[in-house]
Amino acid sequence: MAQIPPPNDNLWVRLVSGAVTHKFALFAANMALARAVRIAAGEPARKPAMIAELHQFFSKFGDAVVAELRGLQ
Amino acid sequence: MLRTVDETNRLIAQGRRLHVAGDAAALGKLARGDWIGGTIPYFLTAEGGCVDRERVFVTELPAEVAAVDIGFVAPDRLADIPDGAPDHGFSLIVLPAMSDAHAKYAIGAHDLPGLFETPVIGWVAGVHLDDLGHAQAMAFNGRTGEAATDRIAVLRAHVADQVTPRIGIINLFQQGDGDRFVFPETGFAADDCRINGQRASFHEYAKAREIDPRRPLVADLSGEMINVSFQAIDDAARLVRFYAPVLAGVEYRQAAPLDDYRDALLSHVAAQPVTPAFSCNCILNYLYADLAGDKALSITGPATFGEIAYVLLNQTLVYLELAR
Repeated sequence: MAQIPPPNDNLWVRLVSGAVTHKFALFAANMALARAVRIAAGEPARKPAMIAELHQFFSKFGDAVVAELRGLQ
Repeated sequence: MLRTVDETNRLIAQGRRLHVAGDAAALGKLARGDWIGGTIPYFLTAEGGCVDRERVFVTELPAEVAAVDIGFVAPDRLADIPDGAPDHGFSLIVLPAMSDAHAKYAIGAHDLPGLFETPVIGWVAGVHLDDLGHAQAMAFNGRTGEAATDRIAVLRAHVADQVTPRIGIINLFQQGDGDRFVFPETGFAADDCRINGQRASFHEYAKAREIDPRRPLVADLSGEMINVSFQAIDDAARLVRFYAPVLAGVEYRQAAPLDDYRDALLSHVAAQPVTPAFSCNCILNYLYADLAGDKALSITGPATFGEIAYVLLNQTLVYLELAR
């Protein structure tokens, strides 16, 4: 399994805050990211939870998304 | 493909794993077995679009599906869908239109933890348009023979490790470059909104602009165009009603116009040379593209009251591929 950035990598903060935008090849990745961004924007206290959830999601699909994630770092 | 009830019962008796769409009376004649289904009499077949109340549209799940679990999920237990998802596979679901299950899934799916980790594909069962208001859409659990008007039929398919289930979407629409709409509440109907940042009545806007209902509202969710189709302008309630919920805080724009709806749909489908394990298409595409009797669509399936690609979609064609 490919190694995606660790949960403490600033990339996750930038993704969840919407500072970095990207359309992944994987539809589910875009939907999961959109969910995290929307929830974190509406409830900033949930941002850490959204980062953890997003990391878990991308960990599951590591091989399919790792190259795109590295391109965003 | 369309099959008679007898032909379908023979497949069920052989232990085939099926998805079946058809009229309620026809589905009610099917034997118990490994299938789920839902009501609709509109189909897109290899021979063209049609209405058929006698035969049913059968999708046989391919050999890559190693095992299936079948059951119903109640609308207050939506988390059972991601929680019960196969470790490696997909979930195929059927929701009865205009039910509590339909409304709760449409609104709640976006916020279900873990939903996007395993493919969820499916559709919203409906009724003949002549029967709107006096017939109920139903979802069927073939294992028990039960039909439900208020629960979600779920088939959890386990696939071999070397097989990757992948959901695809064919959407004709992109956001247009017109006004931007943000709604304060998630729901199937709306009035209060912000238009280009200014508080406004969406009902008044829709009336004044005489908006083209064939062009849905479109949200850009991390690059994915997600449609919300217009159902009606409700003057009595001063609301605009939709076939899927608008999401609170998300920016929508009306879709860019198409030169020709029918040509756009045909060319989009032709550009996707796929062999889906399952597919369905929106009844609004069937109607707006005037597909009845047409022979050109290569991706077949029921014409539905809503499509599920994890979440509820409108005016799309969704399909599932099992890639090796």
